[in-house]
Amino acid sequence: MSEAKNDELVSREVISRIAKLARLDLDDNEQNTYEHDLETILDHFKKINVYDTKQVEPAYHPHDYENKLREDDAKPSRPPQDWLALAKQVKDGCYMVPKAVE
Amino acid sequence: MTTYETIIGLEVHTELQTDSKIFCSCSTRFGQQPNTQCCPVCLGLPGALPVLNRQVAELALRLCLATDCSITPVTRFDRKNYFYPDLPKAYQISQLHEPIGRNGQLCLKDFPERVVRIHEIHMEEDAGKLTHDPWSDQSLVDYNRCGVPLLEIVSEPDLRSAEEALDYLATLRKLLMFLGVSDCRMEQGSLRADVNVSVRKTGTQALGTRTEMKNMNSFKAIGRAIIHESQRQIDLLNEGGMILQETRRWDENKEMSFAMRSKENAQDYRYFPDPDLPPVKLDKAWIDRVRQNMPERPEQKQSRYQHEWRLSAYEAEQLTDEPFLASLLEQTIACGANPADVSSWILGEWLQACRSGNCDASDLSVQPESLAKLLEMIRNNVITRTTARSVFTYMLDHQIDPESYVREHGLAMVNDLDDLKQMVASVLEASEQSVKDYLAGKEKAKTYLIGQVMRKSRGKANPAHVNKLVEELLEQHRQP
Repeated sequence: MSEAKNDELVSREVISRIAKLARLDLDDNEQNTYEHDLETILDHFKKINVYDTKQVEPAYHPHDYENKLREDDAKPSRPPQDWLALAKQVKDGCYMVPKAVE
Repeated sequence: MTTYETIIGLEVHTELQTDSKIFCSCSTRFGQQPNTQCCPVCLGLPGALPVLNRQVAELALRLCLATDCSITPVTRFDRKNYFYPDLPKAYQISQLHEPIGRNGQLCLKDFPERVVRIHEIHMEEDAGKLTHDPWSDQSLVDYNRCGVPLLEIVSEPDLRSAEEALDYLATLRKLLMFLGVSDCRMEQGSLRADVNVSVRKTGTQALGTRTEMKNMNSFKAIGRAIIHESQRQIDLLNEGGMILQETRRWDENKEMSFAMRSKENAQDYRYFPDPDLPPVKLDKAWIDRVRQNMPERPEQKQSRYQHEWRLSAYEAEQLTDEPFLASLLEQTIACGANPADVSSWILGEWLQACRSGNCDASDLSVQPESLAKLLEMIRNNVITRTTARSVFTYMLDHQIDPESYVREHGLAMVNDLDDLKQMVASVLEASEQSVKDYLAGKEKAKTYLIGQVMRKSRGKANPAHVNKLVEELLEQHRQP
């Protein structure tokens, strides 16, 4: 990730767009907070970017374990209403969203 | 005039035959009420933790081994990020950096010289299903399919024509079905392909700019789309134009493809390793176990049928067209029936019954044990094939024991020579004209007379005896 891009990434427009997509109602204060927080995070990555890590094995996973698997047993799901109730709009047992056809 | 060569690569998505989803215990059953097979994991609710279904890794390993892929010793999952309502988490769990298999190959059936290299096979989750609601002009989302396990099989651009591409798909489909990896029901979307097409001047090496047609789910459409797309590119180049790298949509009704999005608008998926899922280590013991339990492949079955049971190459191929036919053959033979008899009955009467009933071979409810009994009665001259056919038709709708049915309905073959002689005599008496015709040299008249006797016996007369008796009695008519 280049440095120039970092600066663009946390613009006010980006924050409000992400908030809109995530259906978060952020006021000016909150937008400022997030802008600042995200800048801090990206600054941190800038510091890491200084180091040459080409020869370093990436840390794919924070914990040192593998093969956490479950058996293929299907279990009944909870009634769809439990989840549909979380949505803003529903119709015919489906979630209704703005037209999304490619 | 410049000639061109068409270059095709395929990305095939296949839904796995598991009971539960890839990262949660929701059912994968098709065709249920919308959103009834969902939970916090597949809906991407905060705090939910995905856990890999062991069977998904096993089935993926099966396919990797069957296509000679090298298995990645430690395979991992990555997040592919995009905002679209069919994906509630806003990312798809997939594999980019360490897919389960790489560098495999698949041999085509009708193009034996063409070995298609497989670039990689990876595991991922399916997305939900969107439908357009014309009343509200909004989209409706059903998340039942969200989290259904998929394998993506990515070929190298090694295919050179629509025929080769369809051969590859058919070969892969058959392999997936026989390995028990997928039911490959294309009408249910459990096998879909993204088709990459480019053209280059014959004799040159560098690949041309390619276009991609996504999510195609019928062989016919894929074949037509490849032919049209390569011709469109050739025409464009001949007019001095340039091919744009873009995604195109194939419209089957209009028989045309339309540009959807160009490379400039292509999304950046911001892939990164999924921190929720620990790596999967595929050690030798696991791989060996999968290898040992590997179902027989269609071509192995074909050659076994020919060598062990002396079936013809044609029969062996037909019987390995789908897993159901092969298993019906094997089980019926295991019940004691003669292999040649079973083969001929399945490819004849069984498939005929499916054609007349307009159903799949597996929809007929006749059990292998009953079929074996029926065929043994023909072999032992207990009933004629004609009788067997009508008993079989009855068996399609009724659970019966064919032996008792034949006994109770008096369908056993008539072998008694005196009875048969009487029957033949009365037929000849009633068919004066045919007898005359035969005596005048018309061989066909004899076939007609035999048919009449069989009919009179309601199909029960021993055909060999009837044949002989008709000949004998006709000769008697010749003498004054």
